[in-house]
Amino acid sequence: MWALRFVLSRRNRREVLVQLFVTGIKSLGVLSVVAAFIGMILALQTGLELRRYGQEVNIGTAVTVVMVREMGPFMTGLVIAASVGAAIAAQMATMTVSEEIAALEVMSIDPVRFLVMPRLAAMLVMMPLLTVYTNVLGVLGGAVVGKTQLGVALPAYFDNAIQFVRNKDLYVGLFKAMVFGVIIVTVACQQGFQASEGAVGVGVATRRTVVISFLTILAVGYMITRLFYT
Amino acid sequence: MNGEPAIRFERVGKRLGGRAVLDGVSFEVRRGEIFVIVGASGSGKSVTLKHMVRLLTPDEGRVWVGCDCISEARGGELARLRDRFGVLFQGAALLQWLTVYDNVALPLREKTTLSETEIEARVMAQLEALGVADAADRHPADLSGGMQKRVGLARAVILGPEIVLYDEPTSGLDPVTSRRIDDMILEMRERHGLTSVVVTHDLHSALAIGDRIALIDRGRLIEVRTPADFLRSDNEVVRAFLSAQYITRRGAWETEMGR
Amino acid sequence: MRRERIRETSMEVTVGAFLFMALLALGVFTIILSRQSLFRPTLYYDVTFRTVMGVREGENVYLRGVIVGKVDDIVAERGHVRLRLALNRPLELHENYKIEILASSLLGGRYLNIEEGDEDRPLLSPGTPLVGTTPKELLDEATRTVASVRQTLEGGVLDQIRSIVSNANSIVARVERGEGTLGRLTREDGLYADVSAAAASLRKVVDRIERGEGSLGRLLTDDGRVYRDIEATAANLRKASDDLAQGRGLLGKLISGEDAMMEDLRATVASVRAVAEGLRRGEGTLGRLLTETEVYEDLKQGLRELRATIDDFRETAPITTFSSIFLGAF
Repeated sequence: MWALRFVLSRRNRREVLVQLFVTGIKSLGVLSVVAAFIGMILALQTGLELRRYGQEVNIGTAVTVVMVREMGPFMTGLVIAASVGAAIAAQMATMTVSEEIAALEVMSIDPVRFLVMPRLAAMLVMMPLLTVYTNVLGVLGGAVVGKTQLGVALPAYFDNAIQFVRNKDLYVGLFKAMVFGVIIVTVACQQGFQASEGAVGVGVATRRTVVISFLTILAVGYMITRLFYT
Repeated sequence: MNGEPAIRFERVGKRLGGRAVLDGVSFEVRRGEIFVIVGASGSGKSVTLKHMVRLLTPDEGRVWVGCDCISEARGGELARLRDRFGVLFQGAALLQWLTVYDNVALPLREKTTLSETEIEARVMAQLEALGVADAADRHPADLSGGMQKRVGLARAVILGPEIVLYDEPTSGLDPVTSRRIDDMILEMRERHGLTSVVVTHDLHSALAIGDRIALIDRGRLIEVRTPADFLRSDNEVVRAFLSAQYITRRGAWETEMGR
Repeated sequence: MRRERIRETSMEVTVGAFLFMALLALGVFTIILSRQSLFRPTLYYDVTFRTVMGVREGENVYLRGVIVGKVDDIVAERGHVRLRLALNRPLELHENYKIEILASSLLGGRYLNIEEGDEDRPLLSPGTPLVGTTPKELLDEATRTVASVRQTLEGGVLDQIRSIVSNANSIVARVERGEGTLGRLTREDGLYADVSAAAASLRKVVDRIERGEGSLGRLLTDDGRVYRDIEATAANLRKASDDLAQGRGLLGKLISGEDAMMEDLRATVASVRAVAEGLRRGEGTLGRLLTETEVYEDLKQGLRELRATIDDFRETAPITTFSSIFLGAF
C-alpha cells in the first residue's frame, strides 16, 4: 500500500511515471523477442519428444506450465536485470562519481527516497505485468510452432494449455517476478551507490549488478518454487 | 563580525583506505568571511570540505557548525544543520535528466510547500541573477562548464543558506570564466552576507577573493593567513606551494599592490 | 516546458495503455484458469473417497466426458478424503452412480469422472452423502492386464505351444534317426533310379491331392483319415517286407523289428495328431500359429505319398520324401 501512496503523491508522480515508462515500455521490444522464442523453443523441444509417443497436443500444457510457473518470471527477470538493472546501476554509479548523490544528501534529499523508491515502485508494478506479457507471448509462440511445425490445431493447443495450469501457478509466478524486481533494483542501486571514482567504477558497478542479479534471481527463484511446490 | 565562528574544526582526523587524509586539523571559519582552503591535489582539502556537511564523518575530533556539532548529529538534526549549507560541487553535480529549471526548483519542490507559481518566480529570479535564465529549459549536458557552475550555485543558494561551500569552483574553466566565477562568489557574499568556504588549487583565485587562506598539505593544516601574510610567509611548505605556481616574493608584492 | 509536457502526456498514455492491457490479460487469465463461469451459478457437491491418489485442487470434473466443473477443495479427514466439487450444473444421480478418479495420461494428471447411473434406477434422495469409487491407477491397471494375459497364456495356450514344439522336436529327432538307417539302405540297394521315379510319381500324387482335397480345414478335421492312411501304409509296408523276404538285410530287419521303424511312425503320427489338436485349440487365439498349419498339410501329403509308393513297391523313395518333408518344414 505504501507503494500506491508513494506513486500517487504529487512530487513522486512524474518520476514514477518516467520509471514506469523506462522499465516497462522500453523493455517490451526485447522482451517480446525473448518471450516468443522461449515459447517456440519449448514447444519445439517438447513437441519433438512428445511426437514419438503421438502426444504432440500436450505441448500446450508443457509450454504453458513451464512459461507460467518458471520461464515467464525467470526470463523477464533476466532481461530486465540485464537491461533496466544495468541501466539503473550505470546511472546511479555515474551520479555517485559526479557527486550528484552527495549533492542530494547535502540538500537533505534522501537518495533512497528520491532515486530508489520510484524505481522500486515502477519495478513492483511492471515486473508482474511484464511477466504476464511474457507468458502470453510465450504461449502464443508455442501455439505458432505447434500449428506450423507439429500440426497441432490451435483450439486443441489452447484447450490443452489451460488444462493443467492453476491460478496458483500464475500468481506464484507473478509473485516471483515481483521479488525479482526488488532484487534487481536493490542490487543495482547498492552497486551504483558504492561505485568508486571514474568511468571504470561505473563499468564495474554495471557488470557486478548484472552478475549478482542473475545469480540471486536463480537462487531465489529456486527457493520460491520450493516454498510453494513442496 | 559575530564572535561565534560559523564552522569550527577540532583536531579532526580521518583515515581513508588505511591512509591518514586528515590529521589533527583545527581551524575556524568566521561568519561572513570568504575562507579559502588551498593545497595540492590529494592533500585533503576536499575531504575537509566534505566534513563540513558530514558527507564524511571524522574518526577523531569534532566539526561544529555554529554551536551544533555536525559530526555527531543524526537524523532530523543533521538535516537541519545541512539546510544551513549550500554546496557547489566540483562538476556542479546537476541531475542530468532534469532541466536547468527543474534542477534549481528541486530543493524548493522537495523541501518546501510552495506552489508551482511561487517556485517558478523564485527559480527564474535566481537564474536571472546568475545570468543563466535563458538556459532554463536546457539540460545540464548542453551547457558550458561555467554555466553549469552558475546553475549549480543557483541551486545551492535557492533555499537561502548561511554558508556556501565551493569545491574547486574554477577548475576546468578558462581564466576569463574563472574570474567571472570569482566575481560571482564575491557578489553572493555582498548580496546575501554569506559565509563562504572555497576549496581551490587556483592560487590566483584564492588570493583574489579570500579573506583568509588556509594551506593543507598531506592532511595537515600548515597555515591560516590573510592573502598578504600568506604571500610573505616563511613557511617552507607555503613557499614551495607558491613557487610551484610561479609566485615569488616579488610577485607577491605586485599582487599586494594590485589589490 | 511545453515540449516536456507533451512528452509526459504521451508517456502517460503509453504506460496507461500497457497497464490496462496487461491487467486485462491477467484478469482474463485468472478467469479462464479458475474455470468458473461468471454467469452461471456454481453448485457444490461433497464426495468422500477412501483415497484420492494425488488429486489436486483445480482438477477437472467430467460428466459423461463433458467438463462440468473442478475440484474446489480437498479435506483429508479421519479415514477418508472429502473432495468439494464446484460444478456448473446440477447432478441427477441414480442409485448406481459412479464417481471415480482417473488418470488423464501416463505422464500424470488426474480427473474426476461422474456417471449418473441408469435412468431406470431410482434417483438418490437429496442429501445422500456421495461416495466415490477408489481410483484406478492407469499404470497399475496396465500391469494387471498384462499379468492376466500372461496367466492365460501360461495356463493354456503357452503349454499347448510348448507341447507342440516338443512334439515337433521329437518327430524331427526320430526322422533323423530313421533317415540314417534308410539312407544306408538306399545306398546299398543302388535304387537312385527308383528315387527319381518315385519323385516323379510323388509329384503326380501331389497334383492329384491338390486337385482333390486342398483345403486346410479338412486336413485339420480328418485326423482319423490321416491315421487310417498311416495304418494302411503300415500294413502295406509289412506286405512289401514279406515280398522282399529273402535277406535284404537291413530293410528286413527294419521292417520285421517293428519296435524300430513302426514305433517311430506311430509316435510320429501321435505327435502329429497332438500338434493338430493343439493347433485346432490354439486356432483363433494366436493367428500366427495358423500359418504353420502348412507343415501338417505337408505331413499329410507325405503320408499319402508313403502309402502310394509302398503300394507300388517302391519302398525307399517315399520314406526319403517323408523325412525330407519334415526336415524341410522344420
